[in-house]
Amino acid sequence: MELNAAFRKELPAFAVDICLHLDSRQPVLGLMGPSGSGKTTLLKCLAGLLEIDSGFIELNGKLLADTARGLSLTPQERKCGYLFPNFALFQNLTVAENIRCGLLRLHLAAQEEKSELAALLRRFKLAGYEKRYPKNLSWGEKQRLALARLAASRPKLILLDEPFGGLDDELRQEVSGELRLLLQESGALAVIVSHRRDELLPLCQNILRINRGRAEKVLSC
Amino acid sequence: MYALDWSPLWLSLKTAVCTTLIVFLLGLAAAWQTGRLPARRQLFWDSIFTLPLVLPPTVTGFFLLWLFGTNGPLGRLCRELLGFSFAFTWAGTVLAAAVIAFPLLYRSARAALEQVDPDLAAAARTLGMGEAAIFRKVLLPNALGGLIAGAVLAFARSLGEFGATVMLAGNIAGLTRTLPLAIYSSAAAGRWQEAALYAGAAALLGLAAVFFLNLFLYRSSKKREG
Repeated sequence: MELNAAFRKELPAFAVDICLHLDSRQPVLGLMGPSGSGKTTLLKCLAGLLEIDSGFIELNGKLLADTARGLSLTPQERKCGYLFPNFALFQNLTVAENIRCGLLRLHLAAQEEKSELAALLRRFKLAGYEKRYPKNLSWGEKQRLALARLAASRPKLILLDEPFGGLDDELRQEVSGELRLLLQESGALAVIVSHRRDELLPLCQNILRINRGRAEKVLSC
Repeated sequence: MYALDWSPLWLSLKTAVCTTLIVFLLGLAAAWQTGRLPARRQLFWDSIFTLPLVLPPTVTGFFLLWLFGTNGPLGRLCRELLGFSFAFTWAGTVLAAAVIAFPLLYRSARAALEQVDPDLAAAARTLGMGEAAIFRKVLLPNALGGLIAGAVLAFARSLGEFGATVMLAGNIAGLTRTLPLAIYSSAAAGRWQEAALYAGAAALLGLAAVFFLNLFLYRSSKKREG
């Protein structure tokens, strides 16, 4: 397991210019920085939701993007799990249907899909909520649904954008435990964006501080 | 008192229903594909697709007649390959109304698709969903309100279509004489009572379309709040 990336992405006010390395000894990187410093842009570049202007991204020996070769895989091909700050749940679909969107990629037989879905519902404490719509869920339930959908697609790289939102301390503990479990179980590499160091400390091996798109400081946890 | 010829009413309704179905599919497809283009090409296609809205309908009709007329480049192609003609036929009323109503559906669909949170499509992409599945499962259900509003506008507009229809399909009683043409013909011939009845029918149809549109928008806004 290894992520190597060095790329540049021009933004109107500055450029994100960053070098990243993750491997099995340090699989989780925290990303900190003031608002508008390019954290989300960086995640989107990794996921393929934004095109990089120069450089490369390599995950587990496979090139996801390399401008020198004119290569850029689509987000579908990159197999990155992305958690959006607002969760981006499909409001017109039920809890079960939302999770099934993540399972599509695995091309399971109907029976297998059913048991996989049941396992995910149990694992993310959503059993009994199958037929509910996202708007009828609490904040914590919405996040668990977003994580269940993400986990369903079995990503090789997990990208979490502000998973702690504006939570109070009690909920923060709960989310932190939830995320730690998810990262352990999935065995995937991960990048977590937050603007608070205390949220990142329990989850990450390293924390990268960025400002105006550039690395300012690396902290070991 | 003589029996009123109701064929213009049926012709208008038939034309408007067919036109709305065709324009819904084409306008939606055009809006979806244009929205995925880079900004510059988007601007180009957006202008082309909006053109019938800003041109006088007779000008659009003139171009259609030139293209699809008996000796027009596309008209000849249709005749020789399909044995089919748009000029002075009922199909001509549908074509004329479709071209005129297209921008209304297209622009409503563009706006409706654009107001769907882009993170939803982005999330679907990271989950591995294909673009067609994203359109069907994510974009379409979230844009439905705007699409239906556009369809009602297109329906109402094609009911009222006059200029392009008269240029391309002519004003043939029982064949291409839709309500607006019948009103014009009756009034021009001094048959005021007939013209008034046709005009009344047209006004009622238009009113009904707008009423159902407002009802639908009211209900869906209530649903969103609730």
